[in-house]
Amino acid sequence: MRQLSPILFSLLFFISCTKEIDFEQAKNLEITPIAEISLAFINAEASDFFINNMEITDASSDFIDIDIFNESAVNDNLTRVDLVFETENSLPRNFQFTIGFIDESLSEFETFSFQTTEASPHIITFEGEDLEMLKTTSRLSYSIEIITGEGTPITSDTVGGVSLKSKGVFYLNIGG
Amino acid sequence: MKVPFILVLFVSYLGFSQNKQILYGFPDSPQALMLNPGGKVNNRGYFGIPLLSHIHVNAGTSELTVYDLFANDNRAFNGKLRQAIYNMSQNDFFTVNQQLEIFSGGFAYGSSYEKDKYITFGLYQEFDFISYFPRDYAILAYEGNFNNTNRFFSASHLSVRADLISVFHVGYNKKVNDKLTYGFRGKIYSSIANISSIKNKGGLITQTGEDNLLRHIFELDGSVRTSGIANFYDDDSESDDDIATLRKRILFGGDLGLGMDFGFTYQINEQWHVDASLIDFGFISHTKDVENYEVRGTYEYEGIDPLFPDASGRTADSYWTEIEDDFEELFDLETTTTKYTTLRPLKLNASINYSFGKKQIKDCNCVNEEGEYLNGIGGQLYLIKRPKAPQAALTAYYYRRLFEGLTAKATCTVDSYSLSNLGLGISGNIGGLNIYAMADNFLNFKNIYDAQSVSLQLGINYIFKKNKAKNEN
Repeated sequence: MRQLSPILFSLLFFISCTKEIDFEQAKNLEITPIAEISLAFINAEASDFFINNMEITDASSDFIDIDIFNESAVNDNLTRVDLVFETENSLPRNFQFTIGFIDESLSEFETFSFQTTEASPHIITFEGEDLEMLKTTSRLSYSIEIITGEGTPITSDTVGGVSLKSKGVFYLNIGG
Repeated sequence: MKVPFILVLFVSYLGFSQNKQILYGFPDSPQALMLNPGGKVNNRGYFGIPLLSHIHVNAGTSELTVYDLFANDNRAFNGKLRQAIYNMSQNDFFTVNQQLEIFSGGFAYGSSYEKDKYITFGLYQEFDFISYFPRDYAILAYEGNFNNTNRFFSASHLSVRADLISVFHVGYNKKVNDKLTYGFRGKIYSSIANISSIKNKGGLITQTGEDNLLRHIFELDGSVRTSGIANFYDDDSESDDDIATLRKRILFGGDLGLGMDFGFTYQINEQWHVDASLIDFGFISHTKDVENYEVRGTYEYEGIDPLFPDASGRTADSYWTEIEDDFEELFDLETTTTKYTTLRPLKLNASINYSFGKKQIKDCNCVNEEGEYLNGIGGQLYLIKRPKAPQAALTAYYYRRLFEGLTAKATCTVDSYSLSNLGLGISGNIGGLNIYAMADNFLNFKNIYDAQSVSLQLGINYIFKKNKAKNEN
């Protein structure tokens, strides 16, 4: 018996109790981070609308190609996107901004317009079908245009500026 | 639900891995010499039963336990996860340490009347892992940067190190006189695989912008260094080749390093002695199969002005492309094969010990003055160098000879996270065969999933005992 004791004692080390544990719970893992990212901005002074002593009344526009929606990691887990636009204007004219959403076949499938006289910020929320449509975006166009029917024309003496600031807020749901 | 014990170890990790407080100074196990090469030797020699002479596993966590996350308590998992993330700091850590002795042995030599020198040798394999909780990464992943304007997310919170090595060692122990014994051990490390990411700096922050609503500032200086791993995830290599490579690396074919252990024991008087040791004072030079990844750069981004970009007349899209390129460059993992050196985690042990109570002789109601003390008590200090800061543990112990050939040691260990880690070790001799088993954290054995650390050592050796007459010399 004395010789057995060490072995019996050794066995004690392997006896331990557990309370109920459920590792399956990890399958319920769900995290919902929200990322916000700077998008484009526009900063214009009076001189930007005044060339050769003439006020530019045509819309100025340009575009950027975006490929964030080609990332499946983003696409598959995205539940909502807020686009936030904030305008400021100290010029005597009112302006209209237009944001165009263009897909791979270069067709513009959606536009949003707002004027500097409107209350800012403008928040456009994309969820559900709207979000699915947003995900087809491969190019964003930005344009700014003087609303000629209002205010006073810009001259070389005009001071002030007009600006647009924007960000995207991306709601993700990972797991779940 | 039963899960394999090893999985529990990996998920729950270990507190003060590598601390073998029960084995330290344990006079009946030859492996105690591995913790202090200058320990007292009380045998003529030994050999370890190959692969069974010393098996050690230790896993720990400074805060979070398996039970915290996975208890079947009807609380929502995501709530528990949230609580876990917010309760832990970046100084909380998870560790795993495992050792397996492949072979070992030792023998005494010297003049025929007193063999006062002792040589040990052996080969063991060790796996060591430590990861601090990457708190800012977890919070960034959990919350995102929304509502975290002006909060700096630090890249330094990522601090991970994993080593798989084999160690060949030869030790020398010398009993100078009745008071002093010292010893040292040379080690040749062969690193099978190493991952280390412990020097990350910088981070990212989102601020209110000037031109735009937000300004993002990235300031990244991080790296992950690996050796011995790139080959294994190369799809072209056959698994047979991989096994051959592993075998070679265990036997000095890996990245080599050198190290030393030092230690001594000083007998103050018949009943008091002190000892101390320094273990793994050494380095490994990683030169083979090295693959390092680096992210370095600073970048400030507020967005672009597509209509009135700048004076140079670039179109919005070319400007945008430039930014995309800059971004890619910032986050581009630069892969290098620059060799690097890692230091082994240095360990310090020290203890003060008091022996008392000799065996009663039944016939005469007196004690056997010639015999050994039956009891020992003492205090031990353990320090290990870790990437962020040293970790310490204090142990009080009681040692007892129960019967001839059966001894036990009980310990109570205090560290920064647990004030009551109880451990127990026993050692028994059956003829020349010595078996020992040691474990700690007994208070948590009623629910091992809630244990912050679990430690287990066991082994079988064949010991050539000193004959009684020589023992008294």
